[in-house]
Amino acid sequence: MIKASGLYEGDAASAPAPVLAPKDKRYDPIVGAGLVALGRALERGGLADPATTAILGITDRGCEAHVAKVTAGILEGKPRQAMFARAGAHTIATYVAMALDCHGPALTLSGGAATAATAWQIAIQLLARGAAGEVILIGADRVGDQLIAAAVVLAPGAVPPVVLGDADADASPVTYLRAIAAAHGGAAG
Amino acid sequence: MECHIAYADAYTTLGHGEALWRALVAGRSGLIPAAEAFPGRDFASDTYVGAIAGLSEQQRMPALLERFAGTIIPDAARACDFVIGASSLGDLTGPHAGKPERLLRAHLGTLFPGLAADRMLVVSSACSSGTDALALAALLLDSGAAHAVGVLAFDSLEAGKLLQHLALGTQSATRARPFDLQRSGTSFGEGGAFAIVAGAEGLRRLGLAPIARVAGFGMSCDALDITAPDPTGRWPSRAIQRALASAGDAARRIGYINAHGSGTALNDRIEALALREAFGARLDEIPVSSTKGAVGHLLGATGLAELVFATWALRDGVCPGSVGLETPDPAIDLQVIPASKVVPGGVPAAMSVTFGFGGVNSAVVLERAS
Repeated sequence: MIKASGLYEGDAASAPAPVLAPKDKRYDPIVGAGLVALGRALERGGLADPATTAILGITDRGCEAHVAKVTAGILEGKPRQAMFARAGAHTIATYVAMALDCHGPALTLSGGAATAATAWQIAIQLLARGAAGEVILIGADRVGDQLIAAAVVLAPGAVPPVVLGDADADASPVTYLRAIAAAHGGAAG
Repeated sequence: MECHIAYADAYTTLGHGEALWRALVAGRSGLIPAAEAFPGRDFASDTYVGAIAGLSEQQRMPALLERFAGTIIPDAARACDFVIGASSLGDLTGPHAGKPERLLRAHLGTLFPGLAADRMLVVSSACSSGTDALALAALLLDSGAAHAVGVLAFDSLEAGKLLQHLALGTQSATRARPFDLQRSGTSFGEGGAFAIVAGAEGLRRLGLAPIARVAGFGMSCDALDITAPDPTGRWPSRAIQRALASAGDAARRIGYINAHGSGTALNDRIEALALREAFGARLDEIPVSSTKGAVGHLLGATGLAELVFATWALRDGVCPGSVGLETPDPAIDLQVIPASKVVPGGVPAAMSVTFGFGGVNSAVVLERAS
C-alpha cells in the first residue's frame, strides 16, 4: 500500500521553504523541492519508526545548481568546499534523513524514467527482507526553469509498481514516479 | 540469498587484475605526490594521492571508462541483463560534470553492447556508493527483475576535486596511514571496479563459476551532518549488525575485515568503536586492514574496489596488509595487520565496511564459494 504521497512543481526561482527543514539549509534547490513534496505527503501523519525508515532518492540530473557553482570555482582556481560537500545526488536522501531523523538506508538512484520503477521494486525488497520498516521514495529534478518533486511512503504490504508501458529513457524519473504513484491511488499531478 | 560474485576486478593506481593483487599482497603503495600527479598545480609536494597515470588534469572520467572496456570489464559482461553503476560525483568539469549517470549512459554502447538504457542506473551514496550498489544488485536478483547484474563503480580525482578535499581537511597533508597513531587524513584516489553478480540462472547464462557468495548486507544513516560522522559509532554499528544478522551462519565464519579505514583521526576511531560493538570479543580473532594506504580512497568507487579485494582474499586465503601502519594507535581496539597474512585453511568469510558523507554507513558479508 501507499501510506502517503505528495507532489511539488514550481518555478525554480520561487520555491517555497519546506515545512520539513533540517538545521543545515545549504542544500541544492532540488533537495528543497523534495522536502516540500515530502512535507505535503506527511501532512496527515508521520512515519511509524524513523529509526528503521529507508530513503531512496530518485533523480535524472542531480544537484545541477550546486555542481555549476563548484565547477565555476574550479575554473577560477578557488575551492567551493561547502557546495562541493552538498553537490552529490546522495543529498536528496541524506537531507531527508537529517530532517526526519531517519536511520535506515539512505541513497539516491540516478537514471532515466525507468529508474522510478526500479527504485520502487528495491523498496519492496527492503520491506520484504525487514531491512526497512517503511521506505520513502523521493524524486527531485530540475526541468528547464521548473523544479519537480514527488514523495511516496511505502509501508509493509506495498505491492510492486504498476507497469505503465515503455518509459522514455530520457524523461525524468520523477515524472514516472508520479505516474506510478497515481496508478496506485496516490496523489496525482 | 542466492547471489554470487562470478567475476571481480578493480582498476587502480597499482594496476588491475593479478598485478594489482600481487602488489597489494606485497605491501606496495601506488600513492604519488599530488605535485607529480598534477604538475601544473601548486599542490604541496608531500601530500600523496592515488592518481592514475596518463590522464588529463580535468575531465578524467571518459578516458578511465575507455580503459575499463579492455581491462576490468570482460566479454562475459555482455550477458548481464542489468547494470548498476556507482559513483559519487565523477568529474566536476566538462559536459558530464557531477552527472556520472549521464556519462555512463553515453558510454553504454561501448561498455555493455546491446543493453538498453532503461536497464541501467547509478547509485550515489557518497563514498559508500560501490558497497550499496552491490547490495542493490542482490535485491534486484532477489526480486527476479534481473538474473545477472554488472556492478560498475567509477570515480575520478581531478585536480579541482583534490582542491575541495584539501579545503575540507579530509585529505592528509602527507599520506594515508589508516589506524596509525600519526594518521592525518586520507589520500584520495580514483579508478574503478567491476563485479558480476548472479543467481543460479544467471551463472548458467554466463557460463561462470562463483568465486564468493553475497551472504548479507546492512546499511544505515547517522542523520546528523553532511560531512561529520556521529562520534558515538552507534549507527555504523547498526549497519554492521544488520549485515551480520542477515548473513546467518556465514557471520560466525568471518576471518577478515576490509575496513573503511580512511585514515582520518575521527573516522578510524569511530569505525573501531562500531566494529567492537557489533562483534564483541570475537573481534580480537579477526584480522583487519585498510587498503587505502596502498591505492588511496577511490571516492564513489572505493566500496566496490574493497569488496573486490575481500573477494580475492577469500579466493586465495590471504588478507592484504594495512600499508602505512607503523605505530598502531593504542586507542584503536582492532587487530590491524600491517603486512599481508596467509591464513592456513583459507578465509571462509569476510566483511567490507564503508562510510560516506551524509553519515551513510554500509557493510557487506561475503562467503567463499564452496
